[in-house]
Amino acid sequence: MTTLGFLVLEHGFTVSSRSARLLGEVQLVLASFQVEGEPPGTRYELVVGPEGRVKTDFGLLIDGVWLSGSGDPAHCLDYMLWHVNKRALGQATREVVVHAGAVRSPEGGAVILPAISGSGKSTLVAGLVTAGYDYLSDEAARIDPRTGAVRSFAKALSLKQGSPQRLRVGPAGRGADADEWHVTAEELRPGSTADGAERVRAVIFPRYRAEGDTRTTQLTRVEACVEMTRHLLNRPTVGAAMALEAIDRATQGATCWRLDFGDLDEAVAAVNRLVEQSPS
Amino acid sequence: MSVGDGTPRSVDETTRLRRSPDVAARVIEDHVVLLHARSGVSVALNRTAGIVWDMLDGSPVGDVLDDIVSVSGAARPDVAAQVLGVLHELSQGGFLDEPAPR
Repeated sequence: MTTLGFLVLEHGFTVSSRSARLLGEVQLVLASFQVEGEPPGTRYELVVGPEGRVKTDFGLLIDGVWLSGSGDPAHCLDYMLWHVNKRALGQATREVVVHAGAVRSPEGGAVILPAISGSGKSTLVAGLVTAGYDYLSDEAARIDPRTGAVRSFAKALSLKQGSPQRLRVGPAGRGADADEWHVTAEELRPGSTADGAERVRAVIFPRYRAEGDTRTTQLTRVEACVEMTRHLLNRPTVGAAMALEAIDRATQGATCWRLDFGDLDEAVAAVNRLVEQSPS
Repeated sequence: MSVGDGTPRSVDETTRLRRSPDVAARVIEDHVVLLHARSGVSVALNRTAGIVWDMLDGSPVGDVLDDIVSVSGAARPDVAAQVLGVLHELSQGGFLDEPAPR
């Protein structure tokens, strides 16, 4: 049994498994969060049957409690990553976390893309990174409530079946048939992982519509702030006042837009135009 | 819904309303943005509604209307129609509650 240690924001945990392949996938997704030793916190165990404890081929235990079993290891891994995200982002106390993709524009300044799951934000982030933007996150914009600056949450991107970027990049066969497929920003474009804090230059709410036209609509800052509150991930932890303060500060000086898109290349071109209209 | 459980009845001039302690408010540009801490529901109030929001300290709504009419000089029926509509929406959203009777 091999055990790896991780610290994702304030959430420390270990992942144990006898499967080098599963641990390798965990390391790929959470590489930037791996730490030396075994931090105190949650204990995840990815079990490969038969070990006497599981009836399925693969299983996930959290703190010794059986949580999930499947014939497909990707399901157990995805469940574990969902749990990590929920704990790490939902219980963050020092930052306000918005469910959003985030990139750094080539000229500087963050572009954040708040959206619910299934809106195409990971695919759009992947497209933007390929086009020259630096990667901050496909999952969470971490906002400093004192400054409004955004920090990276640079786990590997999770691309769903049908994502055009999924067809373009990465080693063939690695989880190619899985519902969610993980690819690092470095695989999309070497040197594309950003670090540090970035002032927000544009807030863009993406909305994927299959076969739909690409259309942008400018929002007032107030409209954008109200919309952003709907994508908060840790409001119960940080409280409503801190959440509003962070959103207010993050959007000061930013331009705000809604982006409907049905084609990735058109969406990337639209984001380029919107960023050009935003103060650098 | 009943007086004392924190949830307002239908709003009329005798209703006493106050800002819910579960709500955070922040002035953003020319609006007051409210965010309910528990439900996560948010709303943006325009300048006039924001002034009304600031006046909701548990006094009867009729007193709030009197204050607005005295400052604005607008006709009371017009003010009442607008303000009661706003207060009804805010109370439905859980942004307001009624203080328990003393």
